[in-house]
Amino acid sequence: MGIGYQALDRKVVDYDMWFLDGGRIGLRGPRVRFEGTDYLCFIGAAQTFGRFVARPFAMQVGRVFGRTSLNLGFSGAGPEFFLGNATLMDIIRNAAVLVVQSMSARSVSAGIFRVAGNNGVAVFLEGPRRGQSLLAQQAYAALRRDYGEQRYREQIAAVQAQWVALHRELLGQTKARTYFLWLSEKKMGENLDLSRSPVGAFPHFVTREMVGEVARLCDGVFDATFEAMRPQPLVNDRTGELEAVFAADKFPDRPNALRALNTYYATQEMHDFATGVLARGLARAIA
Amino acid sequence: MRDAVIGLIGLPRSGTTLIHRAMAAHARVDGVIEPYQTRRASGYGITALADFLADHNIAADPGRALVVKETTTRAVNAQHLFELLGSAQSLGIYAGLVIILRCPFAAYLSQIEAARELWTEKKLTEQSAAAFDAFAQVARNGLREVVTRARRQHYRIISYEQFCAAPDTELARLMALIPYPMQPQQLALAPAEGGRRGGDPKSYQKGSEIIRMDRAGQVAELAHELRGQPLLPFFHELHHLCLEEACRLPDAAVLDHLTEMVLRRGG
Repeated sequence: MGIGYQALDRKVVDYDMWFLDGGRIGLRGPRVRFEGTDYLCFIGAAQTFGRFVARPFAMQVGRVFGRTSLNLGFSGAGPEFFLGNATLMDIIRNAAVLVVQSMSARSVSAGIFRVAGNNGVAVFLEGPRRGQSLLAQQAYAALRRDYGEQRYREQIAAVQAQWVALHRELLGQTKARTYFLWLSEKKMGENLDLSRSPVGAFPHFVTREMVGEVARLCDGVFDATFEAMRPQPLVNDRTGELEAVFAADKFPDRPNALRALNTYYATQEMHDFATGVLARGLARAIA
Repeated sequence: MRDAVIGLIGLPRSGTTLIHRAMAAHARVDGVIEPYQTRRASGYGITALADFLADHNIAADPGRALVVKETTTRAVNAQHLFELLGSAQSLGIYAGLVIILRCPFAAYLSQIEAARELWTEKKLTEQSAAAFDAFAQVARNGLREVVTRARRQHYRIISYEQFCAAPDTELARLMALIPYPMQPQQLALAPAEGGRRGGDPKSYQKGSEIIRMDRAGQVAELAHELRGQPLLPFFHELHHLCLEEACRLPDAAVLDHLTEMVLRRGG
């Protein structure tokens, strides 16, 4: 809940962070004033936060409807991150409309992993790597390599079941009109190819059936699959020059060709597309 | 290479020293207070960052930020500060700006008090139409410099009133511009080891307390007395912007409004 993205990305985008809870919770800006229950609330991970984009969909949807919009997007967040924070849960409970972005099931504690930080780091609870913490993708790669394929598959099943249970718990605590947003480069079901990556594609490990379970608790599901996402050159917003955000000292494993390219996070085009999907879908609920 | 160079700028008597003290109390921040105003008699105007650091005996450490505070008492103070930020940018160092606003009537009243009680230079010691006009013109001219160049770097706008009302969340927001997480000693206004002093003596008299003096009654009376003054509408609009917009609207919208005000009432 800190200022990690602001520290890394500030020459490309100023996230204009603002704070709640005595300065402990940092939110994507610009700052909004919210009182009572008359606001829209968007929860999710880096995609909702809007890493590398100037106009995240949460901001745009608020402007479309002329309503206060709270962006509760946090790097690597999963549902238990929100459930574990009383301040954020108060905001979620009191919202008029809640949009839940599809968050990764890799960001869930279950089986052999406890997630840490904003849920983007996995800690091994048993076996030869007990006590080690790794970024989730590296942790699943290590699990597959060192613990075997069967244990890896069992782990995926465990986090998938827990993902659904945690969404039930979270959605059961709000009276807001609630919508689930599938935000991905992949259609539902096409994000599960584990042959090239140990976690597949975003939202990792989330299946159509899992979305169906959550959909029963929601007022609707919006599909913002955007298969045409192109890599985004990262450009210094003051000088106009390419900016190597993924510098070699901080990201030694990243290929040099990708140091000034975003190939993962939702681009502005994708945010604009999601804004359109949400604006059409929410028009009746918000009117 | 420094992590960041941040400029703090505001009208005189706007809480710039208080906010600078809070920011410079961070263990990784070096602070400089009013370098151009303090040494105005000698025509001090060093704006090349390397020379500026050397002149203030500050190392060019990586992993530390520099926060420099000035007021718009003279327009050239703001010009120099922006040139210093530009010098940092030309070296590839992140530069940011914090614009500090305060109810201008309260700032004017505070100016009169400070001139009487604290400063050796006895200017604007009595309330009068002429004193108000002089203060308001300085304010407008200084703000013109600020709005002209503010967008060259990322910026935050903060009102003194909002800072006093919620110092923890407001300070965290300002520190995120550097970007460093806020540290507990900052709210106690405890100087970092080797911290420098300077600027408004009243800020230090208050010790570690962040107190906003309530001047609402005085402000209403003053506004009544100043009826007919040509720059009074400018002050009323600035008053509204500080108290109603600076803590409620996005900074970009506040800066646009401030710009429009300054240009429209340019004189």
